[in-house]
Amino acid sequence: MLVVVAPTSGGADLAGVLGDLAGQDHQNLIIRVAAPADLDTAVDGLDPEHVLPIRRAGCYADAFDAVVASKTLASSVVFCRDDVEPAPDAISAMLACGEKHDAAIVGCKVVERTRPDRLVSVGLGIDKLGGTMHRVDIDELDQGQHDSVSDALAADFSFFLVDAELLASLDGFDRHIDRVGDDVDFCWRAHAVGAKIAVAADAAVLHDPPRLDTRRRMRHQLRSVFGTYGVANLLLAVPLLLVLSLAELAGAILTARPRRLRNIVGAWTWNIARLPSLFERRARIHRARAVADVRLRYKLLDRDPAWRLFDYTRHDADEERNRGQEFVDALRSASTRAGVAMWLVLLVAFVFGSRLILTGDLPAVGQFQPLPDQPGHLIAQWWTGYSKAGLGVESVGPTGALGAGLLFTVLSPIAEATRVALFVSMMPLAAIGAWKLSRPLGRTHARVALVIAYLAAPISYDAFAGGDWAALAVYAGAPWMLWRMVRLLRAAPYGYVGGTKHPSVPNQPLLYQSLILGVVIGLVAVATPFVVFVVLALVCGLAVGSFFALQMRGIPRVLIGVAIAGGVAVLIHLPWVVALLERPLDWNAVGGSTPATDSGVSFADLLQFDTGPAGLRYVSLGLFVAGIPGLIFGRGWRLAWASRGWFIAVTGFAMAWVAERGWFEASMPNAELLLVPAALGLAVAAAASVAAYEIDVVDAHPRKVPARKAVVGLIGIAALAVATLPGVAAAFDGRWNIPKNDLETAVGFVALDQSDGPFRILWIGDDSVMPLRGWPLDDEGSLTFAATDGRAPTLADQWLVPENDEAGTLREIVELASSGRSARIGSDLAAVGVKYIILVEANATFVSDRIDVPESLVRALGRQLDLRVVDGTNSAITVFENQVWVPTRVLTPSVEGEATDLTLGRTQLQPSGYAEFSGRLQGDSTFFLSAASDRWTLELDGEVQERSSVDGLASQWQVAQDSDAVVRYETPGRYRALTLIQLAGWVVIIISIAGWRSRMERGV
Amino acid sequence: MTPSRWPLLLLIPAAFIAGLALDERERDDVDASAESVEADPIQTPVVLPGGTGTQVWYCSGMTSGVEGAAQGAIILSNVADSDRTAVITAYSSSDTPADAPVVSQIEIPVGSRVDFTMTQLIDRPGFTAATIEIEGAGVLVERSMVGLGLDRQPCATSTSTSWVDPAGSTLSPDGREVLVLFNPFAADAVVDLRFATEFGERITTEGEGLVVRAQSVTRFELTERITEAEIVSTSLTVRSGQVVLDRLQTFDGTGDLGREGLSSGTAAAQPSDIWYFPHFRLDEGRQELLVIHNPSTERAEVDIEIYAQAGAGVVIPFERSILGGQREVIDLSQAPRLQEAGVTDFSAIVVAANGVEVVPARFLSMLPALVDATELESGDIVEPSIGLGSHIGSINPAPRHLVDIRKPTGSDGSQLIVFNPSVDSIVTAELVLPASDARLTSLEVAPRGFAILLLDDLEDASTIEVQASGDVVVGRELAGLTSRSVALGVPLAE
Repeated sequence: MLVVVAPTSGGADLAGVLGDLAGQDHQNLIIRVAAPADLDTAVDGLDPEHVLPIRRAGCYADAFDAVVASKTLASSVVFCRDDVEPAPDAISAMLACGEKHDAAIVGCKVVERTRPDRLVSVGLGIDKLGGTMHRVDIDELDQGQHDSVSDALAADFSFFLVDAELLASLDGFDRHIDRVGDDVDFCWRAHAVGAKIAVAADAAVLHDPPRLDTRRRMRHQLRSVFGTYGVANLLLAVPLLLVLSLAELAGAILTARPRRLRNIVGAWTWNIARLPSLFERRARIHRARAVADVRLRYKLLDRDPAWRLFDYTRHDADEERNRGQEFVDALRSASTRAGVAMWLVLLVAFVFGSRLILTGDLPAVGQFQPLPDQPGHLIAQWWTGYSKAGLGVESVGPTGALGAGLLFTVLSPIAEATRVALFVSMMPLAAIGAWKLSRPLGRTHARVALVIAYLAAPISYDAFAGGDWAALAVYAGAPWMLWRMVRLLRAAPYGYVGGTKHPSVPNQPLLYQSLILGVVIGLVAVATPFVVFVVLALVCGLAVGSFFALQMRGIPRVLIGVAIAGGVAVLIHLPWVVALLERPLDWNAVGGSTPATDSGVSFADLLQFDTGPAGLRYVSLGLFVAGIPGLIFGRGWRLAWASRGWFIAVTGFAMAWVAERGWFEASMPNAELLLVPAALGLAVAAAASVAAYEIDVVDAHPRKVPARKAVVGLIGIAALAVATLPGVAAAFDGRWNIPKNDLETAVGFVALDQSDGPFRILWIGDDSVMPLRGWPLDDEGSLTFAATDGRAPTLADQWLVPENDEAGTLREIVELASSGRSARIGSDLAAVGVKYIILVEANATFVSDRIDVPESLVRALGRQLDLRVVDGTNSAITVFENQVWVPTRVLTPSVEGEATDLTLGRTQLQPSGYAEFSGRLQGDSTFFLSAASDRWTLELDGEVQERSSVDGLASQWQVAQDSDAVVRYETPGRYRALTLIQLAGWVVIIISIAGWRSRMERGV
Repeated sequence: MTPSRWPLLLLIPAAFIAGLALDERERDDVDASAESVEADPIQTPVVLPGGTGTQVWYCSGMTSGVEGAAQGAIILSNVADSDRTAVITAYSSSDTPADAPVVSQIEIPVGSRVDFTMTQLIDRPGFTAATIEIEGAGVLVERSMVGLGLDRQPCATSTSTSWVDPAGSTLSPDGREVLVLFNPFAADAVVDLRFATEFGERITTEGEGLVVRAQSVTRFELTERITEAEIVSTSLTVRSGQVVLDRLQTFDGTGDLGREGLSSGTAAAQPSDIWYFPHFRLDEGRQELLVIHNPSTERAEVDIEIYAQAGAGVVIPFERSILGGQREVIDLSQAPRLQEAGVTDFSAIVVAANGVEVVPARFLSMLPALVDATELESGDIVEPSIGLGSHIGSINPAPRHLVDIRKPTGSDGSQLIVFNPSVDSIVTAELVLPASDARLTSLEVAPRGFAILLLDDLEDASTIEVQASGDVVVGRELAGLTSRSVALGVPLAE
């Protein structure tokens, strides 16, 4: 008989359990302790050779592997934790029970250690969704009421006996299931191979109820279901689990339980990330299965799925009680108190600053535009590759459209809340990222400094006020990206270079790190592809900072990692990247639509982050002051990180400055986005300063800190406090300075104007006030133009799309007007279906911050003989109506030998899909569609008709006789191939990451 | 290896300080270069070169019918390298129920000059206007008016939301000023008119919220509303829409000074801080007024720099301070400093020294009553000239200009003037026929100097192009038997 003890309590109880095992009446016990190397296993009487090294404390899977590796042979194995107290006859009673019932797994009766009259477990039940059902109530008195029952679906795994053959046939325990849920999982699999499970009621073991861990429990439960059921039952179980998860998700959101929310989402993503191992496991069970899955399902217990909700709520409550105790314990530590206080303050500040958004609504300002009427069209936009930007752009499928489409389709009942969350969550995400980045610094005050300094830079508040989601996304993503990069760098305390690695930083291979970095870059690139240059700025700052820190060793590794990450990001956005590269390089699709001109923002303004309404002159210079002590006092890795932080900041400021001066000679994003590396760099320098002050000043002078150094330190802290004022001020209006209104009401008239047929709207305005992304109108100034298909802008119009020749036509038409070379651009615009030209001069109604369209352009449009100013519109916009416009879909009579006169036509065909229209067309006519691409096809009664181009801007078809018609955009095969490669790439990335994680968890 | 902190403590502050210093220096350069603001390219008349889109000309201020005060004709000169087709849309007055616009087409062979009267398009008497759309551009469009005299002026190339006309007169008994507002658009326009006279700023009830009907011409008889004003300046601002503002000025010779003639002109669409006048002349029986209107609400400090003919003495610039909304009249023909310096012919530059933009105009009157009787008797002057002319200055010096130099019947002393506004560069100006590129003559113009060419020396020419080696301003004075017409050449855009 082999007894394997897997300590979980740090080894404190190990001596006790070894003593109890030594006192067992069953002789010839071979006792092995499976414990991680760092666990204290120095116990009298325990031969160190009998300690089997494993990676995860208390993990039976690791313990089993260690036993196999040690070639210790036995017919039966008892596994137990170290915090159990078995009765002297427990093992012999279990053996007897096993023989009596021919059971391969035998559990025992578990009672509380402090109250032995209270039952903890007498075996477990398993429901059809893998849930655990306890056979005893909480605090149930042991009166022998369960002693007559011997069979069970699962045994309590605190102390149990298992047949070695069963272990071998099941290849041990699931290596991905660590402690929580291993009992249900192993026993379920045992049932599948025909094993019996019994509970020895006369084998008593003292053991306190295990601490609840809902997160692992949910993950492992899903894995058990996915990995054990046969295909048919799995097809039944997965949709049910999905629906339940969504219901739980909604419940978690409604009851504001972020932990449960995280647990639910995490359970699915954790399992998806481990699909390869799941397939392996299923194959193994399939080979060993001795009991039909249908029969096994009958054995599992029925339970109302709604119970699950209650069950988890109860568990959550219990878990929160436990964690509450841990929290109280942790609060006794001063440093933890600082961290907790910071998060409480940040939470209050965030809720206070966002109160009117969280309780009201988020105006459609800048990129915070409303959802399209049919979110599914976002998915179609990606799938067809047809963007309706301008006059239609081919083979461009923004990955973000797919993501947003999926998100808002799945969460359609709470779509508006999701939209708000999508934009508002960026600031908390940035704070969490900064907190994570700071973890290896070790000192809580340094961690607090990093988070506070990063949040103090007012760029996020300015970006929010302007609806600049791109800047917010980069702001949120930057700490996460830097976190991955510094781990690639391996500089202390993130690695071994130049010091000691912090224990919280796991060892992860370069490829894995690069993959994760690539995924993060890819996610941020959904909002703006310019993130690539932010990454390069971070790398540049890291390299220069490391050079001056005399720690260049990790830089090649960072460069390799970033190169791989870039490849991953490209794969994530594959069709879009190809569309960008195969055209003459359209930098605007990367840098945005703001032309390269001197914005008037000076270098001094940039240093003060004074680029928007939140900036307070001079105040943000406190961030500089906060970063100085690191350079003065810092030693070792503190000085090195101060150097890196400062040079990241220098690189960021330089990038922003060069861009703001227009020296890049290419369109560039707003200053808020460009300043993100600068803010992060200063935050790192501030954190290094605090760490340097604590370690190199306070710790180095335990008796008395020199007054001079104390003063410098205090000035730094005070400066950091002062630097937070812009954020505090921005919070006061409850909406982070975002306007109360938007343009929706002002442009709402277009929705009422659809009766005369479909049309386009040409939007012109300064990039910073435009409600959609466009292209520069000229090389100078900051005017941009865009077109929508007869509707107000939505979220679908927020992705940069490379410009094509057709879109350029709109620019040429406007230039004709502004240069005085045409007084009738209405007729030119009619050819592309433009009915309205809307000049946008503010991002919302009733705001004082206006950016007027140049008077010369207003005059130029005003003197067009076929345009009419629409009176009575809000002053934020000026609307011109094209008096000679022609609908974008027109059926007009064909006259032999005469040119088509579109003005005689009438609108035909109604939308029947994202890029599809259908209906009935009359014969002897010409159907005109304002779409240039030759991929548009017309089917009349199922037959494809020959298309002819109209001036390269539109398509038309002859209709000989009355027919049922469908006109649709046919996606090119090449684009389709790219999307399939893209999807395959995602699968490869997910599997690769899952594979790496799996191997890392197994310690390979 | 332990990093040293000193390089960091030196380099990092140095990087920021260097950035601040460099930014400051570059910003100064940018501020200096940002002084010149690009004007609207067609707010002042300009001929777009051939082959570039469609150019529209707006010709207004004319009358149709045989008894009109200013019987209008439109003259089209094709200076492009191929034939052109003009689409002409004629609009009638809104005094009576307006007719629908009349649309017609006319072919203009390359190098030719085509003209037609407005009566050919609209036979009903009254004020008329026309838009002339030239597909392919490259055509100079002028309108001529015949009534109490003759005037020929380039048409406007733009509508606008504001107009300023500095120089008109309602002085009785012989002065009549009519403002003609042309709205070629499909929507009504609403405008406000304000006036400045020697009695101060004036508004009229009719001029406030004046509706200019869509696709029509509206006449505003200023003489009936602002009476007895020697010089009236007009400012127009649009509440909605855009219009073209023209002024028709006549004197019938019944006044004490015997002033008689007709002048017309399109107002200025925008004020400026610098204006160029290629030519003024001081002579017996000739009154040259410079009228400067300040349409803003701030005081304008204006300098008038005089550049006299060779041999004349240096003239100290005139300095005037003009209140917002007011106008200033300088009678150059009576200015002692010009007479003392022996100035007879001169160019002028009007500069708004404090940046408050103004609009100046030249107002030329031939005054027979002022001609010395002894000179008549002695035979030095055969017959006193009559006529009236006016034009607003130029804000658009350019190296190429088009001028229709066809002389009126009985021309005597018609002339072309080329003014070089450059401070330091001599300019060579060649006069060529646009169609054939045949060179007629060339002129050399000194810095801040002018050259005068008598048109009587160019017998066969009609429309010529002035091709200069630098930016110049070109003027034209047509002297007929009973008329004067002064105008500027029209720049040819690059």
